[in-house]
Amino acid sequence: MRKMYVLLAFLLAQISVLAQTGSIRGTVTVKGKPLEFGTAALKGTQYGTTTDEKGIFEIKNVKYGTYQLVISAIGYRNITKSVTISEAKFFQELTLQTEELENSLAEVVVTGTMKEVSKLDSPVPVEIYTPVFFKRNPVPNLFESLQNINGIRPQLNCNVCNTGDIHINGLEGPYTMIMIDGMPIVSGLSTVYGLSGIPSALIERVEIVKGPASTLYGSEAVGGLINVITKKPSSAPLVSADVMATSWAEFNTDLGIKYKLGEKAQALFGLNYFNFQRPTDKNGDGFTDITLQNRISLFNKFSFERKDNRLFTIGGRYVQENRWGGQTQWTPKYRGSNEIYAESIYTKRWEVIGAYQLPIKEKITFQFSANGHNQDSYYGNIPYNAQQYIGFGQFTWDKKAGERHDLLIGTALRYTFYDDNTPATAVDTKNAPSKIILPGIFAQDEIKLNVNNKLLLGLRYDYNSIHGNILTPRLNYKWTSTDKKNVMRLSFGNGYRVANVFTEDHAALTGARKVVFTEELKPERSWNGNLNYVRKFFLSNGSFVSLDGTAFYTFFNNRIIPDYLTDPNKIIYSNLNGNAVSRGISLNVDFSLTNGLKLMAGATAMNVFQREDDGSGKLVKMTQLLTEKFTGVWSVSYAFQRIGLSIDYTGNLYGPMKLPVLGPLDPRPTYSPWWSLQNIQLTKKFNSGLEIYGGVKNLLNFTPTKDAIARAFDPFDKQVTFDAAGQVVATPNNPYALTFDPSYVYAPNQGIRMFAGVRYNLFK
Amino acid sequence: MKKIIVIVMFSWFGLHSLEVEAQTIQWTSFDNLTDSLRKERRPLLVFIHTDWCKYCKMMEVKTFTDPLIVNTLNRSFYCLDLNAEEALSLTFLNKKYKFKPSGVNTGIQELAEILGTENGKLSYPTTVFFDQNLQVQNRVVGALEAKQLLKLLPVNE
Repeated sequence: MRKMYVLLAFLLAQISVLAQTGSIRGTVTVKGKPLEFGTAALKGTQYGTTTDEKGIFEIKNVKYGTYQLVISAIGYRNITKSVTISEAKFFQELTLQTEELENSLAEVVVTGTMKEVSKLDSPVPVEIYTPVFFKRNPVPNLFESLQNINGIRPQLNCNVCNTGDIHINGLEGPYTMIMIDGMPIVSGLSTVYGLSGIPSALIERVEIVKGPASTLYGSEAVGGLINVITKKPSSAPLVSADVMATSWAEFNTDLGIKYKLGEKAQALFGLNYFNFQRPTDKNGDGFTDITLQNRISLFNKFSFERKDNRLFTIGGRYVQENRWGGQTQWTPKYRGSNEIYAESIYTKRWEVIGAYQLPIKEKITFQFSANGHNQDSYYGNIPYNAQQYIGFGQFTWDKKAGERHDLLIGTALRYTFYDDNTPATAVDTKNAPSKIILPGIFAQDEIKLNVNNKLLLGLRYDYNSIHGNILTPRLNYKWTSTDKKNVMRLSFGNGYRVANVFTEDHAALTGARKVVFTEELKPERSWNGNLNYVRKFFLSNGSFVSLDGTAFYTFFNNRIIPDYLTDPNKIIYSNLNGNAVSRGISLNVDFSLTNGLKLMAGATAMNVFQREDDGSGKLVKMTQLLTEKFTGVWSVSYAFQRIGLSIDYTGNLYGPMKLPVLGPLDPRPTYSPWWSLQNIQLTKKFNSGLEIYGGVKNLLNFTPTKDAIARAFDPFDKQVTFDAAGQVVATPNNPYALTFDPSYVYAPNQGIRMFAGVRYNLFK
Repeated sequence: MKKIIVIVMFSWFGLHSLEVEAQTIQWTSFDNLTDSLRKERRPLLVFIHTDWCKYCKMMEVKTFTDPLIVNTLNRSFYCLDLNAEEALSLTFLNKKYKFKPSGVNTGIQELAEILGTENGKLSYPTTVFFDQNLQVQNRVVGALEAKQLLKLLPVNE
C-alpha cells in the first residue's frame, strides 16, 4: 500500500513538472526578411537558442515564470521583451522585428546574458605595442632608435653639426627607401628626416627589408626598405603623450592623437618637440659636445573609408629645425663670421605622401609623394643655402593572373629640382639649378610555384634626363617550410643612384676642408645579393626562439667615395677607377620566455672596401673610412608582470674603424678603439594608462678622445702656416702640421647621463 | 671558428629536439560556416591574429597543436582563423564585413575590430568564444597556452 502511495506521488510529481513548463516560439525579421543566427535567450537563465533560416526560434521546457526575452545578433539592435509563461499561457508565439545598427562598428561586448564567464587570472603576452622594442632605450626619434636593430646603423656624419643618416649593411642612407604605411617618401634626405615626428605610440611596427626589394621602389632602393606602419584606428590610443628629460637638459615631447573627420575619415596626428639649449663642453676642447637643437615635427595622416575596400590615404609632415654646434661662446650674432666658429643650420621641410585607388573594377592605385626642403646654413664663415623640391607620381596595376601569378605593372614619374649657392648648381658662374626628370616603367610577376616556394621577377626601366637609360632587374625567391618555422629569402638586384654630394654628405660642407671635384661625377652602379634564413623555434615550455642569419654582398663598379687622405685640406670627389665591395654576414637571436624574460642579440661582421687603380693599372685594396668591421647589438628585458615593473638593458658594440687622419705627422691613431654604448632603464606601468620610466644612458661613460676635432682652438686656421703649394708647414704652435678638422669622428661626444620620463595612453 | 660552428650546430639540433610536432586544428572557413551551422549548431572559437605577431604564431604552432585542444576543438567547436590584416571581405553570420585599407598593403578587417576590441583597443592575439547559441561568451586578449585554453573550454558540459 505504501508502495502505491509512493508511486502515485511520483506520478503526480511528474505530471506537475510537465505541466509547469511551456515554450516560447518566435519569428525575428529585419525589414521583413528573416534574421538567421540571432540569439534568443532568457536573461539570467540557462534558456537560449538561435533563429533558423526562416528567422524562427523555439525555447522549450521553460518553467512557469516571467522572463526577459533578449534577441541579439552582431550588428543588430537588441530586442528585450517581457514574456510570462503560466498555466494559462504555456505557449507563447511572438513576432519580433529588429533593425540593423547604423554604427555597425560598435565593439561587441561580452554579454554573458545567460551565464557567468570564466576569466583567466594570469596575464598573457600581447603584441600590440611592438614599439616596446623602441621604448627599451627611449630616444627622441625613430632615427636614433634604429640603433637597436642589427645591421642598421644611424651614422653621425658630422662631429659639429651632428647630422646623420642610416646605413644598412654598410650602404649609405640614399640606398634605403623610407616608407610610411607602404607609401614611399621619395627623397635623398628621407633617411635623415623621414623618421621624425611620428610618436612611437602611433607606430604599430617598423618593417625592415634588408637588401634589394621589389622593383616598385625604384633603382635607388637597393640597400633596403624601412616601412613605418602606423596604428590602425582600432589599436591607436585616443591620446598619447610622452615627455622625457635628461640630465644634460635635453627635453623631448611626443604627442599623438587619433580623431575622426566626419563619418568616413580617420586621422592620426603626431607632434614631436625636441629641445636642447645648454652648450656643454665636458671634454674641454672648446666645442659643444653635442649640437644644440630646437626641432618641431608635425605629422598627420588621413584614411578615408570608400566603397569596395578601396584605398585612399594621405599624409603630411612638416619639420622645422634650428641647430648649431661649435665653439661654446658662439651666439647667433657670430653667424657667418670668422671670429667664433659654429655650424648653424636652419631647416624647413614639408612632405606629402598618399595613395588613391581608382574607382574602377581593376585594382589601379595612384601613389604620390612631394617634398620641399630648405636649408639655410653657415659652416663657419661659409654659407650654404639649398632648396630641393621633389615630385613623384606612380600608377600601379595589380592583377591576379590565374592561381599562381600576381602581376604588377606600373609607370612612374619623378621630378627633382635642386639649387644651392655652390658651384654645383652653376654654369659659367651663372646660377643654373639642376632639374631632373625621371620617367620609368616597371613590371613584376610574383609566382607562387607551390605552397612552399614563391618567386618574384621584376624589371624596371627609367630614363634619367641627364644620365640616360637605367635598367633595374630584380629577383626575389622565398621558401617557407610547410610548418612555417623555416623561411629562406634570396634577393638579387642592382642599384643606381646619382650622388648628390651636397645634400647627402655634410662633411663636404664643414668649412674645414675644400671640396674638389676632379671630374664630372657619374652615377653609382651596384649589384647586390642577399641571402636570409629565419628559423623559429617554439619550445614546449612556451618559449620562443628565433634565429635570423643574413649574408650580403654588394659590388659597385662606380662609387663616389670622398677622399680625405690624399690631401688633408681637401675632400676630393671623383669616379672610382676600379670597384668597391660591401660584404658581410649578420646573425640575430631573439629569445622570449613566457615568464617575461626577453633577450635579443645581433652581430654583424662586414668588410667594406674599394679597389682602385694606383696609376699603374694595378688595383689596390683600401678599407673604407669610418666603417667598422664588427658591430653587435643587444637588449635584455625582464617584466615583473604582477607589479607592472620592467627593466631593460640595451647596448651596442662597435669594432675599430679607419679614421681620416691629417697627414703623416698626425699623432692620432689611424683606427678607433673598440667602443660600446650601454643603457639601463626601469619602467613602471599603472593601470590608469600612465607609465613612468627612468634610467642611465651611456653607462660606461664612453666618449671619443678630446682631440677628435683637430685644432679646435683655431677653427679658422689663423695660426696655421701654409707653404707655396698650399700644404701645412709644421710650426712650434702646430708641431703636427694639422688644420682645423672635425671629420675624425666615430662616436657621439655625449657621456653618461640620466633620463626620466612619463608616458600616458588613453584608449577609447 | 670551428668551435663556434660546433656550438651553433649543437644548439640548433638541441632546440630541434625540444620542439613538439603534432596535428593541428581544422579551421572552418568563413564561407563554409553558414552551412556548417545550419547542419549543426556548435560553439565558435575565433582566433584573431596578424602575420607579424609572434605570440600569435606561438599559439598557432604550440597551443593549436596540443592533442587535447585539437581533439576538443575539432569535435565540438567550429574554429575560425581571422587574419586581422588580410585584404579580404568576409561574411560572418550572414553579415558582410569589409577590409579597411590604411596604406599600401596594410589595413584592417572590420570583423576583427568588432569582435576583438576590448576597452577601446584591439591587440593581438585575441581569442573570442561564442556558445552554441551564438552569443559572445568570452574574449581573451593575449596569447593562450594550451592549459589556459583548456580551462576556458566547456569540456565537461
